[in-house]
Amino acid sequence: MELAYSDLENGVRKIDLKGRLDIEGASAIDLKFTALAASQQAFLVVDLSLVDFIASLGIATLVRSAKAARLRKGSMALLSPQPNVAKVLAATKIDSVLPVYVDLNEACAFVLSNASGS
Amino acid sequence: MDGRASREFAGTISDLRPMSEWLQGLAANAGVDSETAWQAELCLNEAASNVILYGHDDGAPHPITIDVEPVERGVQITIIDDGRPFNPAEPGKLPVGRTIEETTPGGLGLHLIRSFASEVRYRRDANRNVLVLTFAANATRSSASIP
Repeated sequence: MELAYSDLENGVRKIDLKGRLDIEGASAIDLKFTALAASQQAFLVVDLSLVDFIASLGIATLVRSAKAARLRKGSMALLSPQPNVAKVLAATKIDSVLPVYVDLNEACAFVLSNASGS
Repeated sequence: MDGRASREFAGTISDLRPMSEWLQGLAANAGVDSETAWQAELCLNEAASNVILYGHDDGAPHPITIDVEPVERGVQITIIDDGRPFNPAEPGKLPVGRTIEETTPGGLGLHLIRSFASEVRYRRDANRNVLVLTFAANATRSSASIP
């Protein structure tokens, strides 16, 4: 599991994940991911387009990071999951609390407008 | 996969990916469609993870036996372990709230099994959990059987 991030000019932190977000993958990125989400730059878009498998423990990593971002008055959205990943997100209804977008600009607009207390 | 295949895994986290690869290979050889094979892989991963992480108190690995056999337009997986009695077929509350603040990070694996398996059957047999998951093409929802 690979994790990379970039801070966009609009203030959003884009986190790119690549690989299998199963128990091993989640363990590999969990600390770094949560640390990135809990920083000052807590407006997060997580690009899942290169994640080819997600299990419940991978979802748990996403939820923990989203909660960490929320504690920093930020927000998180998911971007472009592959079909099977999207099915898992829908089956668990996680997509109802972590919105999924296919367009980066729309995802950024959501997280910037969804700041806690705004 | 002409018939039933069986393999025992040591019961560690590092078994999960080889377990998935083994299942995918069997499913491909049996001509199982990719969607059904993915559903089977996901649910096997969830069930085995649950046993490895929560099945025992002693911290030691306990073997998990996986049987795989073809069924009409699909595949059936039997997962046998000597962990504490646990029935994944029993309905549970989805831990997703109205907001991310109300959502807890765990407890989704069993929901995924019940969502993607066509049928979930569980029995306790000689101090072992026996979980039978069936995946049939074009099936939409599991039916849980609790003997």
